[in-house]
Parts: sequence; C-alpha cells; structure tokens
Amino acid sequence: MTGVIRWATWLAGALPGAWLYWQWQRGTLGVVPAEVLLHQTGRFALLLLMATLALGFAHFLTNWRALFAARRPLGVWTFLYALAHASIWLLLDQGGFIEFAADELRKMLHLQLGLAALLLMLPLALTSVDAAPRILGFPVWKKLHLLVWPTAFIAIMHAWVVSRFENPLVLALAGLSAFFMASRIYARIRHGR
Amino acid sequence: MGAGLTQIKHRAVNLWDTCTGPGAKPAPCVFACVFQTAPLLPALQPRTVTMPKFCYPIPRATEITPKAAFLNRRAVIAGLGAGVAFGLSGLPMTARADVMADVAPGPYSTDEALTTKEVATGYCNFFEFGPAKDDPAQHAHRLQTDPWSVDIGGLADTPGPMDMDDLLRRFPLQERIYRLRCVEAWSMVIPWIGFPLADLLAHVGVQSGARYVQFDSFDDMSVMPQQARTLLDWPYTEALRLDEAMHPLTFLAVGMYGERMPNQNGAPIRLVVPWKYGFKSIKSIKRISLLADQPVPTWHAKSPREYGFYANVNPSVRHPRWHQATERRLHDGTRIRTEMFNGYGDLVADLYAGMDLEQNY
Repeated sequence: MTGVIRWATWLAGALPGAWLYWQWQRGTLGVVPAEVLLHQTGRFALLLLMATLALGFAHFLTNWRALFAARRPLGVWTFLYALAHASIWLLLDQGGFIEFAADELRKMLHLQLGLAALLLMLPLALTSVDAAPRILGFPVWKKLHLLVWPTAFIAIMHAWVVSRFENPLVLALAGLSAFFMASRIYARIRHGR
Repeated sequence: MGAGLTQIKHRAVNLWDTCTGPGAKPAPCVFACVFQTAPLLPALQPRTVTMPKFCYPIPRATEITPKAAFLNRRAVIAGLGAGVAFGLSGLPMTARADVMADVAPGPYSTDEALTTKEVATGYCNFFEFGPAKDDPAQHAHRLQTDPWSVDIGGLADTPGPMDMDDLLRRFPLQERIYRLRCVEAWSMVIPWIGFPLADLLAHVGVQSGARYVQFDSFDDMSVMPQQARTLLDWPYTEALRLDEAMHPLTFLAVGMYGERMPNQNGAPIRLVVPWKYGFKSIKSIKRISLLADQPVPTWHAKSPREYGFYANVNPSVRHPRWHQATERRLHDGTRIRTEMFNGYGDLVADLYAGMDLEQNY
C-alpha cells in the first residue's frame, strides 16, 4: 500500500505541470503565457505545501501510517514547483535581465519573501534522499524538516503581498496552516510523537 | 518549434548578453540569490549599452510620390483587381464596410514587426468596459459610435460640436505605424489611421491664452458593465501640454489595420501619443478643451505617485510596483529594453529641455 501511495503521489504531482507545459506549447495560455505560467506554478507550489502540512493532521485523524508515504513526493514536488515559479519569474517575466531582476529583489517585499521561502526549502529538498537521515542522524534530520512551518508562513505572506492584501483565500490558507500546526503540537503533547 | 522553446531561447540570449556583454558583472547573478545581504549591497551600476536608436528616415522631396500619382496608381490597381475578380467569379465585388479608403502612408512609421490585429483588438485596457483585458472586446459593442460628434471647447476661436463625418472629410487620412508602450510594461506595434491633432487644433483656432489641451471620453454610464461604473471617476480625462498636443507625432486615430477603429480600441476617434504611456492615449473622445491651467487627468487624480501628468516613457523611472526598464512585446512575447521616450527621443526630447524628468514623471 505504501508503494502505491508513494508512486501515485509522484505521478500525480507531475500532472499539473505537464498539463501546463502542454497548454503553453499549444499556445492556449492567452496573450501573455508567462503570466499564466508564473501564477499557476506558484499556486501549485502553495497547494502542494498545504497538502504536505495536511498530512500530519490526516494521520492524526485516521491513524493510517501508510499516508506518510506521500510525504516525500509532496515535499519534493512543492520545491520543484516553487523552483519553476522562481525560474519563470527570472527568465520569462523578467526576460532574463538579471541586473533589473536583482534591483527588483532589492526593492520589492514579495520577491524577498518568495526567495526566502525557496531558500528555506532548499535544505529540505537536498536532504530528501534516503541517505540524509542516516548521515545527519534522525533527530537532527527531523528538526531540520520543521523548517517546513516557517516556509509555509513566509510563502503565505508572499501570496498575501502579491494579492495586494486583498485575497481572502490567502488568509484562509494562513488559518488552515495555523490549525495544522496546532494539531501537530497537540498530537506531540498528547501522544509524544 | 513551440512558442515556449522560442521564448527559452530568447531568455538564454538575454542571460548570455547580461553575463558576457560589455560591462557585464558575474556578481549580480550570485548576489541576487542571497536576499538577506542584497539590501546591504551598493546599488549595481546600470549597464550602459548603446542600443541602436529608432530613426525615421526623412525622404528627400524628390523621392516622395505626389498624392495624385499614387491615388491614380491605386485606382488603376484596384480597377485591375476588381476586373480580375469580376472576371473570375462573375460576381460584383463589394468593399467591406470597415475598410477605410483614401489613406496615404504617413511619416514617422517604424518598420518593426506589427502586433497581430487579433492581439491588438483582444488585449485592451478600456476600463469603461471592465478591468480585464478581454472585457472591452466583449462589452464595447454597446457603445453607439454613429452618429458621433466631438465638442470643441475652451479657448478656441470656433468652439462647438464637430460632427465625425465632417472631421473625416476635412482632414486627409494617413497611416502611421507607431510603437505603443503601456505603463504595465507591455508594448505593441500598431498601424493607425488618422490625422495629426495639430491639424484639428489649427482648424479650430487656438487662442493665445491656451496652454493645455484636455480630452474627455464618453460618460454614458448606461453602456458600461455594472462592475466598471465605480472603477474610476468617469468620464475618463486626459490632457497634454499645448506644445505636446501640437507636436507632429501626436495623432488622432480613427482606424487601425486598414479598417475603421474597433469599439474596444476607442472608436470612433482616439488619441495616440507614442512617446507616452498608453493611458495618455485616451479613447472614444467626446470633448476637446483648450485650457489656460493644467487639468488633472483621471489616473493622475487616482494615484499621482503611480501615474504622472507627463507619463513619458522612461526606463529609469519606476512605477512603484515594477520597473520600467524592459517591456514585453506582445507580438512575440519577448522582453526587450525600453527606450527613453519609447524610441521617439530624437523628435520629442526638446519639449522637455531643462526639466527634471525624474520629478516630472
């Protein structure tokens, strides 16, 4: 069962990206495809991140250990979509003009938040190989991966600034994340796990 | 090759230029990735790359075909075409109602690739018909553009309404291919049909006290979709300094792509000021007033920090939320550097001699 869940998640994570790429190549993304690509990859990354956070709560509800097989594919896909999102910003939205992109980074809060979230995810992605917990030691590895929580809150702040402080859905995501975090803390205190 | 791969190639070329071109620094790429330290670094020196200027060849008098000659030539060709078509099909040809006749090629045209008509008529900012880019194409048909008259007011010798038919008869039409740069950092290249605003101003007579020209669009709220009615203070208003309005580049367009102006692009008559951001080029003009004092245009009133009175295209003055150093060309999706005055500096820079354009943006 864990094998099925793991591979199904790996596969499912690729689908939105493949669909988006297919639309892009067919030229059906409208007059400014770069904008659609940018926003959609960002949304996918945020949704996958929320799904990753939701796993703990889902396990808390169902007590079904096999669910954790989805953890790594979800996390890695989150990072890959976020990386695609940042690359699309630099190469398509900014057209690869690095000096102007760097200048924007220095000035705009949403870019700084986005980059911070991406950089926070980098060590998590790098230590998502089997050998990593062995080399680091499991407790250290586990502590390191608590970085997913600040990542989520920074990513949500990024989305909040991008929506010009207007999109109530982003606030809902913040509330949901806080709820997932609270459920994890509760489970830890109650059951010590 | 798909659109995506072409785009990637363009990005790669841009990246390559940035990293290997004259004055390139390896540092920006690395530093940009370290956001905590980025704010502490001194500002990067903007690269000074001499870009070829757009220049508009001024033909010698001997090279210009007399109007009578080319009109005659056209008539001959049209006659031939009609004859051939008639002969082949056996049916009389009827000209499409939208096609504009008697349009001479005008000066100042760029030879850059045109934006497709589909994009230019489908991707519009015309907030009277809604905030989304495809709203105008969907809703603008509600605007009744015939009959139409433009009310001339203020410090004019002959104020009063001018009928659209009268305008079209009085001023010879010409086609000009202009670059259009939106404040939102996208750009198009559009073949407009119309006549210089200066011709109209000369006809109505500008009194000596006039220093500004104000344009008002229509204010019939009943043709606007509900969600558009509260977007801005209607009617949409724009203004130019008198010398800007009299400049030979400043154009009143009544058509584009050889045809009568589509409603979503500002039928029946709109302004085109190619060295300023697109929002200055007001659509569906109802009133032109000559004024002594500087009026307050719609966007400038809404957000003076974001939209200046002059709104000259200027790559070194940021919009508060994005830079204006580059622009996305909508005919191929590539991103290019924005030129000062949208490439028309040779023709208009004199208007602003001695002015601080960072302050008067």
